Amino acid sequence: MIFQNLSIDPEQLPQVESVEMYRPHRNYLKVVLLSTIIFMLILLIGVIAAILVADEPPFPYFNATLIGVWSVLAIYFIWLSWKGYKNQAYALREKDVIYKRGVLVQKLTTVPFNRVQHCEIKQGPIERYFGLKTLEIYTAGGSGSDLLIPGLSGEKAQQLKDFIIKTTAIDGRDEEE
Amino acid sequence: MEETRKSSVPFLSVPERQSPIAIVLILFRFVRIIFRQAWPLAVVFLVNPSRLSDSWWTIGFAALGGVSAILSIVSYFKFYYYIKNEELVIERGLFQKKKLNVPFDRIQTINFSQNLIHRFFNVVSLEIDTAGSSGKEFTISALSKDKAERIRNYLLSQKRELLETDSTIIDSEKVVDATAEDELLLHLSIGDLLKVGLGQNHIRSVGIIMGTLYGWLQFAEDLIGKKQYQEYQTTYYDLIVQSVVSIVVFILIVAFIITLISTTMKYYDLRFYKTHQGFKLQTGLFNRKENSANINKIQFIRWTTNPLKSIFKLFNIQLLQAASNSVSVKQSMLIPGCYVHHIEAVRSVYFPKSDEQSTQHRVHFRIMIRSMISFGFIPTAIYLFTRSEIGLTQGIYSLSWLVIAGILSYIQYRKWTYEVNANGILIKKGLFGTSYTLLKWYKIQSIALRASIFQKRRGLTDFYLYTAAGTVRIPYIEEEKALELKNYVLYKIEDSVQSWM
Repeated sequence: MIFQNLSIDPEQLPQVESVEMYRPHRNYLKVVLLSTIIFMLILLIGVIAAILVADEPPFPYFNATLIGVWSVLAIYFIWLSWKGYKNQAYALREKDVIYKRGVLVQKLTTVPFNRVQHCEIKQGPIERYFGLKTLEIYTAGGSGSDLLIPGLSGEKAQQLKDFIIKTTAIDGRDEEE
Repeated sequence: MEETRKSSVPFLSVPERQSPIAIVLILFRFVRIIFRQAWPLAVVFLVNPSRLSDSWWTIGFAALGGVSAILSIVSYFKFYYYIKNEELVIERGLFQKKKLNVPFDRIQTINFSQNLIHRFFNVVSLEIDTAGSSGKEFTISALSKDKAERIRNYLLSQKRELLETDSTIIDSEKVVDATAEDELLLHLSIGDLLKVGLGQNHIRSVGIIMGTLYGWLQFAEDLIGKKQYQEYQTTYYDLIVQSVVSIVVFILIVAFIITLISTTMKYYDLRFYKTHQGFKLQTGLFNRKENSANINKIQFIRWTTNPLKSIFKLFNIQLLQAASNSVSVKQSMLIPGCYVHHIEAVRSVYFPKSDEQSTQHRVHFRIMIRSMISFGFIPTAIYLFTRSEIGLTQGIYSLSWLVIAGILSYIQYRKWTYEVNANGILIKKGLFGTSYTLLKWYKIQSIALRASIFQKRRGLTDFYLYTAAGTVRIPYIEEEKALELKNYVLYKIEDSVQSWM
């Protein structure tokens, strides 16, 4: 053990790694894919506009290059969103909430319940179509420390929010006593 | 200092006005606003004074002045403050009446400040910082010093009483002798003030000047053509070198003097106190400011030094505070010109010494490789890529840059260490200078491990500690170690009953 001389036994500490992590709802894959596709289509309109506007190609194979770059980007972004969907997961424990995400940069954030400031449930237009919601958990630690858990069914989001609020409320009372 | 007046009437229950000096201050503010709007007019008159003789202008100015004066007087008479139902109430407003209520328990700190006019008339402006307010909304702009101090002591003592009756659990830190006198920790002498001025970051100014100069030379080359430029360069080489050197020296001296003067103005007669609630800082030559840092609001402390400062063994201490419940506003109190024993004094208040042993750790050596890539190889590659020809000169430049980057990366790696014990963490880092960050576990809001795929492959991760006064980061920790530290810190946060603010 590395932190041996600390005043508690590290063996007794809760282990994040052993906690069962929950994945977002299946439909969330559709949400991310659809938003990526919409983004790529908008980009495609730009590419086509550029091809039509340029009477004389600035360099040989101009059109082919543009379309090529676009296709590579499209495949890359779709792969990224699929991978991102695969990599994201959350878990609730007795005293904190854990969320991990990311493809090229992976981030594992833990927010203790006794540091939660407030919770919000949000829904974007694509999410609404698929009946999904995003749970946002805010602390006083700035935007980097806040948790945004997307891809929850409406019911689940509400359950999680209620649970967190209830727990933080109890924590708050503990401190007062 | 008497806290409440021993009379049947409660303190400040009757609405009071500010000191009449407020009229002067408001008038001055008007003049400033008018001037800011109308300065092009002033330029016109400067160029062509004869236009001023036009009587319409004179009448106009007189009217404007008169109206300003009347408005100042009226707004003075319309401004009241009093205490009612455990709230400080401020009533003001020229045309539209505005009533501001500040509940005692929402008051975070009360600061005094003085500008030149304040100092001339010996009054202070009282500014109340509340949880959630923005800007200088709760300001009483002119009060006699004595009065201001009485109000502050009263408000703070009332706030404390409220807190203590509210919660039966009393933090060991909150139990303090309210009657204790403020202890002067640091009074910056003229000599030390000069040292602070000398120890400002002149290296940065030099860098900026050199960069700009190089840019000009490149520009000259582009402008007159390379061949011609080289011809000029050989013909007038001495002249160019001489003028460049003298320009550099001149700019350096000017920059140096400017920093020296501004430092003196800013930190003249600096007094740093330890109060019963935290710390208090008074500074300034013309604009005298007094700021308080409540010990509960301080999230972490940091002390830094740079090569020039370390010659004088001087440090800057920074107290990083959560300004209010809104995260976007962050406050930090900077105390320059501190010696080691001052750091010790501040440290012992924030982080009382304990018998806890601490263990020292080092970031992983691979951080050197990352620094080498981002500051050594990538800039070199860009440099070489943008050259039209690559010869011996370019090779020597690249190589020496790579050597410098290598040395710097190594220094950075060697300096980056962190020390952990049961109460908190001390992080040391730096390149030319050194910075120390001291953070208590229970001040942390949340934790994140963040790793790029390259780090992931090597089993490394960056460690982020988020607090209400900013983020503290330790890069390149072994994953196993990071997880262990994370579990430990989480345990510490979740187990703590102390409030982070």
